[in-house]
Amino acid sequence: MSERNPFSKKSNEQFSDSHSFLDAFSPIILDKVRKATNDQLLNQIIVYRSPPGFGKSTFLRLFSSSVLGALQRLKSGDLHTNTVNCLKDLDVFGAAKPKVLGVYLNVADGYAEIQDIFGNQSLSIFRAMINAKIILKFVSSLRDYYELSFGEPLDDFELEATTGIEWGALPKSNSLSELYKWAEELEHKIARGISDLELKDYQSTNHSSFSSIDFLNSIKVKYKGQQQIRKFLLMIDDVHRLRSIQRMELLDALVVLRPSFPVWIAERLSCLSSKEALIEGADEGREYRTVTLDELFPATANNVDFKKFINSIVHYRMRKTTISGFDSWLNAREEDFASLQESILVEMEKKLEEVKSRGGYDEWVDKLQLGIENSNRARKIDALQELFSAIAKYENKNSFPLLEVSATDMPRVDKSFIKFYLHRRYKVPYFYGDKVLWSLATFSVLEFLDIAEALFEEVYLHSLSTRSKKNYIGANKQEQIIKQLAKTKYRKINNLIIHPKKAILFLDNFARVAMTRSEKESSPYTPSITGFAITDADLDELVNEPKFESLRRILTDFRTNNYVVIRRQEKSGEIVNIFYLNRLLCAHFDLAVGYGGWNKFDIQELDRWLKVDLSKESPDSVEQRYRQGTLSV
Amino acid sequence: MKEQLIWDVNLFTQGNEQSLDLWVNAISKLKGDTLFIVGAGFDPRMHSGISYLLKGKPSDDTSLQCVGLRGAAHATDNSYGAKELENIAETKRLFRDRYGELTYEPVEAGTSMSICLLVKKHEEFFSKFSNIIIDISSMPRITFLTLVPQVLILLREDIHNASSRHNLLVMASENIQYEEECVGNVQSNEVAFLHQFKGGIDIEEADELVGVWFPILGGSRLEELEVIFQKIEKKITQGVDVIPLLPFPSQNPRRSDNIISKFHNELFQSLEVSYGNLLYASEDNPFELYRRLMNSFVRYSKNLTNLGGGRFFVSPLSGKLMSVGAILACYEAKNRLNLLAGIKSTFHIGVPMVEPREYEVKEVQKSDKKPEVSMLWLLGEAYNVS
Repeated sequence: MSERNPFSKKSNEQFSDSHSFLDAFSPIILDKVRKATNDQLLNQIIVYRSPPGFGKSTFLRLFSSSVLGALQRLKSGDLHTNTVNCLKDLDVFGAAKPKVLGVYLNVADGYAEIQDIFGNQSLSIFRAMINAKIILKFVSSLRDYYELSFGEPLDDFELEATTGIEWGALPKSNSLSELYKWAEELEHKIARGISDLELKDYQSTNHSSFSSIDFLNSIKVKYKGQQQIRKFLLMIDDVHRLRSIQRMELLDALVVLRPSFPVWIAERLSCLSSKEALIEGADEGREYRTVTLDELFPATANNVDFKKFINSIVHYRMRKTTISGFDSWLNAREEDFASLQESILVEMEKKLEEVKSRGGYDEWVDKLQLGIENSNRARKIDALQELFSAIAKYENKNSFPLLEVSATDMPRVDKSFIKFYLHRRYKVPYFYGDKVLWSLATFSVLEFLDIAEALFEEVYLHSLSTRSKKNYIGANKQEQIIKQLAKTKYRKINNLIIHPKKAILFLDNFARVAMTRSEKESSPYTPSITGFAITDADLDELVNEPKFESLRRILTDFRTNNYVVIRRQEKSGEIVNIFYLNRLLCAHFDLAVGYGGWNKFDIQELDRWLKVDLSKESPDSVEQRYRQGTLSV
Repeated sequence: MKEQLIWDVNLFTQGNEQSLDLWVNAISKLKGDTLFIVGAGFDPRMHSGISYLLKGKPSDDTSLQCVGLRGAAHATDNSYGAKELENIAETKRLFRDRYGELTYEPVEAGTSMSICLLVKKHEEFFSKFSNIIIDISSMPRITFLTLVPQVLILLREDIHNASSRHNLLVMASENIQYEEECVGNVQSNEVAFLHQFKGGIDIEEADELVGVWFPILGGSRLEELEVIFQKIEKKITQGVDVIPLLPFPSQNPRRSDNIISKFHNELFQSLEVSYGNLLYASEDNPFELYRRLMNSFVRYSKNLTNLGGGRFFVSPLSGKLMSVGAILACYEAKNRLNLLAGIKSTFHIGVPMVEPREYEVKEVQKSDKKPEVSMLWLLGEAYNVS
């Protein structure tokens, strides 16, 4: 069925059946995770982490029994061949049914409060709840696997326990239905206890271990006499919603139990300490592997990998609509810019005459004029700006030339900077085109979907209009939509970040510094500064020194909510940690969207940004302050 | 199973005059001790309604006491601490120091559970009062929507009717425009269910049940609407029917039209609400909203019985008194629907809310939009008539 807006569904739960889920799934993420785990995806405990909206739950759902079953049934040559092939490599499929049974448990609700209500008994009740839920989910996965409806008898199942099995709190029974009944009663008992704030029967809820994990470790399942499942995969989602003591209890138990089957934990970064959230690999050494989803894609200028990923999602989702060519709708046409370009050219021609009359750059001018003789307006503008920026750069380092400067001395000016400069200087639209889908999403699927949804809505309205002859969205309109989204992102600081007023002041100050330094015609930054960097020593101080508590908490919240992404980089023998601003925030502040431009600051300076308002200082004094002692790239 | 509703009455006063009349001629004459429960904080309505009833004079009546509930959510600006102190001083003056405070400890599970724990801890204290008046005027929504049903659970002897040895009233100094102008919520994106109304999110078998969501619209909270729906949708695998409830009749006859216009995109495109699903209830009568909701619950539950039950979610996004009407319906439905349906089906009631992280106090405008006192009589002598 065709969808009004194929980008409006933002969470995997909105795809009710396996096929519609698969229709929106991009196998690129599977490939990335495979590489990140050296293909040991199904052989170990893995903790998946990211800010919200990076597709953790979506990834886990791919391995649910219903989705794996649907993929197994697919014929070759199907749309999902890449996904199927990737899973084949992981030895997921059997002859008729998957070899892997995914058991998915979400612990977002109903667990954390146990800790607040039951005092000393809390952890044993928490373990009881986990035991009950794992059994219930195990049965539910088996039903999906064998395509049984809810409530159908479980008599055809046979559980074969190994000799050394530790039943723990579980009933010693080979009957699945008996086990199910036990788990259901236990779950109800605990839920009632939570609701009434007291438990009537502490005895049956006093579990000293995660017996259900032991149980999965020690059984084989046969259905109608046949064993098809070779491996269980336990997936526990939203672990950040547990109390930290519960989370640690679970993680520690998993490490001690060392289950023979893979266990995946998915959690948001918000459950981490500042140290773990801000310093890469701070919790390394634990006996589980971590995969940080927002770090799967490198922050490079072209963002090729992420672009590929986003394009594949666009491709999948666009099949759900009757409107075709999303990218074509977003590519503005030359005629849209005609009048603006004409006025820019008038101004530039004047400036060119001044350059010619001053002399010194004749070789550069000749080279330019030769190159743009038969070019269109856009190309002429770009080339002229390249010349002016090159002159500005040259004169920034040298005095005005008394003799002619050779063409070979012409400094290189990056094209991405020219686009940014023209936007700032002449208000040429900048945030438009299909590139915004990936360049402004800051590696987040959710943010990409927000952008795509808003732009597609405009496309949809245009497609309905019988009067409109345009089959594209104007650049100004696109920029307006992006700016609105950017504003929303900025305003959400009030909801998401601790000390929101300070956090906003900090960002405003950074943006002011970044803009002051980036928008000059001679700017060395490509295309603009969009990140601040600190050294390892400063990062250590940040996470350890009490005097930086506010800054630490704000930067941690920025990180855990994808308001910044952190990348480590070596420059001139020194390692720095670059905090790149979220790309929609860059759009809000009118900064460029490419990665690569950053300035290093010391920790005291960042702390100062929480307290002073740089907008009250003149751009010159801001520039003066930061001219010395900063490292630029 | 009798289907008579518990609050099939209109025992409420609207506006200062009626409320004062009720206080002078009935409530103040009730036997036994009376406890006012207020929200202690920066909001001047902490004492303004009570002050109106007491005509601004300190009461020498030792049977009157007041307890201020102090919560985890706080004003964003520390300067409002001074306002809080002023309000407490004024409340103490009115009660001649028969004022005390109970703090609900911040627990990570959220305000709602914290309040439930507080009421449970102080059961004896609350039970010793013959009359309890919960003044919700200065309380955050999540506080009073938890407190009212929790105190009902504590005081009601018979779950089938509202007669009781205890009297329970809810009062509010309310003016929707005043609310919107003076207090802004700084909200998180986290949706939490009221502790007593989790809608079966913690029960595995409930995953298989169909859901119906009743957002009660009236405020200007589009973001709230979006995040709550996302949360519900996440919890429901069998699809959600959305039944918005709009205020009509209303003081402003175009109010529901304005709401529809404001939420048009969200309601009719994102949530795919059909026009036939819109419900209306009078803006001024919380009991009518309660009855409208209860009737819908009963009607839906009859249809869903064959499917094994259902999950009803209610989001009171309207004025405070109307929200009380909604929570009464949830309270009754939780107790009654499963009895009504029999053992073959199960119904769960959920109240998902967006919990504010902080409150932003705007400067109170010098306008004529002053709050008016209203009172709802929920339990006690008024119902003890056979």
